[in-house]
Amino acid sequence: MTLPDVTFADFHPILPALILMLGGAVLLFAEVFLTPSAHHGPAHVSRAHQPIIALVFTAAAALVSGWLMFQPARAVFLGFAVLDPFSAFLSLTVCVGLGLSVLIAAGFLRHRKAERGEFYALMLFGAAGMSLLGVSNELVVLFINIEVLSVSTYALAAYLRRGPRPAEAAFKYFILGAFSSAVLLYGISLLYGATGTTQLSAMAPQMSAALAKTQGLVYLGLGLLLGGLAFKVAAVPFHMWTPDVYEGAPTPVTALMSAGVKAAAFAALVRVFLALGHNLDSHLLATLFAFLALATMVIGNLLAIPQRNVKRMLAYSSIAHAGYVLLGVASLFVSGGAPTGGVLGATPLATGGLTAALRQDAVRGILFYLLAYTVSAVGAFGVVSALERREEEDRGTAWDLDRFAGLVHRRPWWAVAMTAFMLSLGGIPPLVGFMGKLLIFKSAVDAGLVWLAVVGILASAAGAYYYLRVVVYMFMRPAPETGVLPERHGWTEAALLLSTAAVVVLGIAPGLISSWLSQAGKLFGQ
Amino acid sequence: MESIQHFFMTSPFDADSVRHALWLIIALPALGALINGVFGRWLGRANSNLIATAAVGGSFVLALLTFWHINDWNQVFTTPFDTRPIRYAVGMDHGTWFSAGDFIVHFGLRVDHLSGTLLLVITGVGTLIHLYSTEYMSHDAGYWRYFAYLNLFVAMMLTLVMADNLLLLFVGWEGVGLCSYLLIGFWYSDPAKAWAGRKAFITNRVGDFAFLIATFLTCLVMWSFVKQANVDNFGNVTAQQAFATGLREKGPVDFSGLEALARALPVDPGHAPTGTPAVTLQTEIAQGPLSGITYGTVLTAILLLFLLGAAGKSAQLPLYVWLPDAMAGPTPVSALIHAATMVTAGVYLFCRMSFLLVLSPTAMAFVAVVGALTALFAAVIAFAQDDIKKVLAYSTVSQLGFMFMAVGVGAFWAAILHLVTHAFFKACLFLGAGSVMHGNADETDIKKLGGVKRKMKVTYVTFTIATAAITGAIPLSGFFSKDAILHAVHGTTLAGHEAITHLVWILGLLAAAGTAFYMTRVWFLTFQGDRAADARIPEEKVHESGWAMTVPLVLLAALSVLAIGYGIPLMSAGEHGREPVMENFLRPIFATAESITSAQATVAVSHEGSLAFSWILAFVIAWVATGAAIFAYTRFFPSRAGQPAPAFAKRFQTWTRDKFYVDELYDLVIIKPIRGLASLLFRVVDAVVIDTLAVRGTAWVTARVGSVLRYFQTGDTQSYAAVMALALLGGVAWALVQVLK
Repeated sequence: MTLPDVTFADFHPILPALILMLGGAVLLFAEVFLTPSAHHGPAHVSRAHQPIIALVFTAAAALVSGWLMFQPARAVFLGFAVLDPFSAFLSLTVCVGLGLSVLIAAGFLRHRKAERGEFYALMLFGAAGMSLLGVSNELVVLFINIEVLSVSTYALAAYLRRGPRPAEAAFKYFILGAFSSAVLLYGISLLYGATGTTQLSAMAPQMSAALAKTQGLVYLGLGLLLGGLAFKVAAVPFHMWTPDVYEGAPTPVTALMSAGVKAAAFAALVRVFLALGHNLDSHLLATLFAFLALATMVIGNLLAIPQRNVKRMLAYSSIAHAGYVLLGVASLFVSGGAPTGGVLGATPLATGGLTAALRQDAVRGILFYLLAYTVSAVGAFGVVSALERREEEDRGTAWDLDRFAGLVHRRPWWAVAMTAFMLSLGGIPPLVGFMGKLLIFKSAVDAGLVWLAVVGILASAAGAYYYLRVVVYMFMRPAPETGVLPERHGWTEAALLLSTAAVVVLGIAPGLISSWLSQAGKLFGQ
Repeated sequence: MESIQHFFMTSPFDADSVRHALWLIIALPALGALINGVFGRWLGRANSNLIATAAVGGSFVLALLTFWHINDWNQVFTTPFDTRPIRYAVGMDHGTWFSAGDFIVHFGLRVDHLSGTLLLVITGVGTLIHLYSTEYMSHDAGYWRYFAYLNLFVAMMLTLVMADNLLLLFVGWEGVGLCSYLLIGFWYSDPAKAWAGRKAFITNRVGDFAFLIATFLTCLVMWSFVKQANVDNFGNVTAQQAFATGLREKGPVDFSGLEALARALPVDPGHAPTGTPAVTLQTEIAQGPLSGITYGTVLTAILLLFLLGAAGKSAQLPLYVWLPDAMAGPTPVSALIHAATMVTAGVYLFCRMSFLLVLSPTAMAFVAVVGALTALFAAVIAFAQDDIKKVLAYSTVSQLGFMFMAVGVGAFWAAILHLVTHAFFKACLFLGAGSVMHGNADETDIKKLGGVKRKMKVTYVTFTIATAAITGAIPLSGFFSKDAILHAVHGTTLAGHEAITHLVWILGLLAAAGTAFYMTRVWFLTFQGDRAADARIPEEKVHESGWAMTVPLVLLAALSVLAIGYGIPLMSAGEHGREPVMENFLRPIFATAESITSAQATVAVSHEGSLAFSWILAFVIAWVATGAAIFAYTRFFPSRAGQPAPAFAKRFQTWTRDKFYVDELYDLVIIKPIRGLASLLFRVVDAVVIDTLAVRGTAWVTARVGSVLRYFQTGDTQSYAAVMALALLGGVAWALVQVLK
């Protein structure tokens, strides 16, 4: 066996992940050498440096991702991974979500007196998996990276072992995650059987021949692959784990799951199906994604409406948002041969699906939406985590809407920030969520999915109900008289400040990142 | 002499640096507004005053330098619409502001002799009024809010006059409306004052709506014209291509584009040598929503809509009703916004688009008649108002009517001259009134003042000069500007509406007489005679205002005198002898309009009438009315002379004091029916159909569906996995069916 000829340039795409892993390792090592403080005994170890270490490495990874954005797209490691602006932008989004989650976690863990180094290390390892998932160009690598990020999040979900809820959530997540991994792996093996390769760039040219020979195998393989990824993005009907897990997991972990895991899984979804979908009957793929988008948008929003538990409501809302992104994905696959008429069909506006330029726009829309969702949702989870208290968790009232009543009188700045997040999630201008929806719906209309876009807009209008209800509680309901004033932590405040700034600034001036975004539409091989 | 002239007519600046600094003129007051608005509360009174005044003062200095720059013949402004550069101007295009298909709007600024003159008036008078306000508002806790609004107003007004396209002008137009609303209702805790602000805002909405429709129609005309016009319209192919290029690059609302349209539109159909005749005003528009209507008709409609818009902003019939109520705001605001600057925006708009107006004699006739009727009507109402600010407000309405008269007969330069002189003397009058109020415990009723001259010497002298200027009793600036208008009206006939100008002239003379009467009355009752018996404070307590208030008064009074220079015929005008300085100065702006009038014969200007005759006539009228007022009020004023007023005067007084019941009429005809309809719609459509059925119904159904779906969320892991497996199976089965089919 000869070693492949690998140069340093081959390591470029995985640099962010390497930095994150290094950060995780540093955190673990630091934990070993921690000395208990003399005054408080062994139980009280100062751990203020941990979030700082995590943040430094996250920032470094983000910087490298920003640099990678402007590197020429190329395949590395014998085609197992690719370097393209698309994956670099994804890494950046993951780093943004990670950084904010770390800040939230710092305040959260301090309050719970549960600070330990492995928490941040696991977060960094998970984020490394997410970043690697974006660059994977080979199905087995893709599977491994999904496992890297999944195992980290299983462990994180179970991090707070006190109480039945976290344990139940983690276990549920683990079982169903294992199930979906199996489905995914099965799909990969079927595709390997049909084409004789697992590498996407090599598989794509084989597809026509494979379709002619073993049609069933290809379709079954792709279907299972889609099922496995749909689990990760929480698309209906693979969404049912989401509310239970999101609710049970520690809130900072939920934030990371809703932002990073989802974004990375979407990146993999787009990459795999754009590579393999070329030679397929495009009508099939477009209809499939359109159906997923429709179901996810509608059911996600409908389920969120009756929720009084804000954390659970945000979980359903994350399903709904996956639906909007799927709408963008569906518009990637509409092509000239699309059917006419019907709710999912193309309208006369669409004459030939998306042109190459419009397809890049759609990819940009998806990426921008993921970033927009990241800053809004992580911010919202930040407010939730700032408000919750451990004592109420077991009773299940920690996240009740009543916790938000009169927040404006108690913590006015939190109420303002939460309002910004809610309005952004609801897609109300001039916040970033609106710009994201605008881009997504625009590419759907460009692709001819007008009716689907209309359904999406109606669904998001229904969504305004449950987002605004939080705002109503914060501003128009009297504060409970006996309630304990929630504690403030500098870290959490910083997270809220940063995400509010991002939500407002990117909403008013999305042009600030337009140079990155215009790069990010470029996928390797597309 | 020649060297001085050469010095002032040679720009000392590099053209590029002036271009790139234009935005600063707007940005300075905008920055002042930002600082005062955000941090004013913590800045302290002195800092707040300083920042606000310095911002406008700095803007004034910049405007002066720019003005110097554009006095240079070599300074040009190029536009893609025209192959020739525009002289005496400077412009800066900051690129596309927004675009939607063909509808492109640039953020472009332009300063030429017209907007340059207005720049100086706005920033110059603005600075004085800011200075004045520092003392006038010295007892008010909301001073920082006041200065933030006032600075914002100046920034918006500057945007309005510097805009090089209709839409940017509209931004300023709306912006000044907003600031006016905020400042009228500045003391918002008093419901009457808040209501006055709202009235101004809503009345202006009517006009703004017309403005917008007119803008859209203008766009349609531009787009139709570029498709339909042929070479004969433009004279040569280069000009035609330039027009198309300009339209593509700068969009349909650019003023240079409209000017090019006006130049190209009215070609005599007989002159077309090629097969297809050139487009004329009588040509029907071929495509689009306006197809089948002639260009001339659409143009007249556009101009009439602009007239309605201008009537709203400039308080002309029938939308003048808000201005008298606007006196609820602080007096310096009345001086700056409701006398000197904002209310003249309508006049400016028509002067900016003079080339379009002269294409339609019908629209011109409308403008002139509206102006003349307003001038007379407001003057008559002013006869019996007892509130000193109300008199001045109606006087402003009346003087604006004069400006519209001038615009209506195509004497644009006379309108601008009157605009400038009016800005000086009316600001002086308002500030004088404010000074009187300041020294008399906020008394505004002229019948409860009297004898003020003894204690307030500076105010008295300046008010007297300004009164003389507006009445024309002594030939100060107002005499020449008003006379320029009346002279122009007298010597002009509009094609197809020959009798109109005679009517307008007679109405104008009557209004001029009225002006002299009511102004003398105010001056007389306030300053002369004995102290009224029911005065709020005794004469001993009356005090003169401080320097910050008197200095602006003196300067404005001086300007009211010095502006004579603009009105007297000094400049050589070839065969017609000599022409006033202002006419000569503004000739580059109105050259297109002038060439159109002479080519199209829409307006006939006679140079026969002697200027001396007009002057003597005006002088006689002013003195007759002034004398009448002095006579009437020394002899008949009840509280002074003990003589009862004659019966006819009383009847007349009741009617005019109640403002001819126009407010009541509007209330009955417009406000009450709309309110009734609104409450009906609210009860039936909104409460029943929309709220109950549509909104609550939809919400109810949605929430039910959500609750039902919730039952599937059992929390049972096995069933979750089962759902996923079933979904996979279903999907695969569906795909297989699709493929096998």
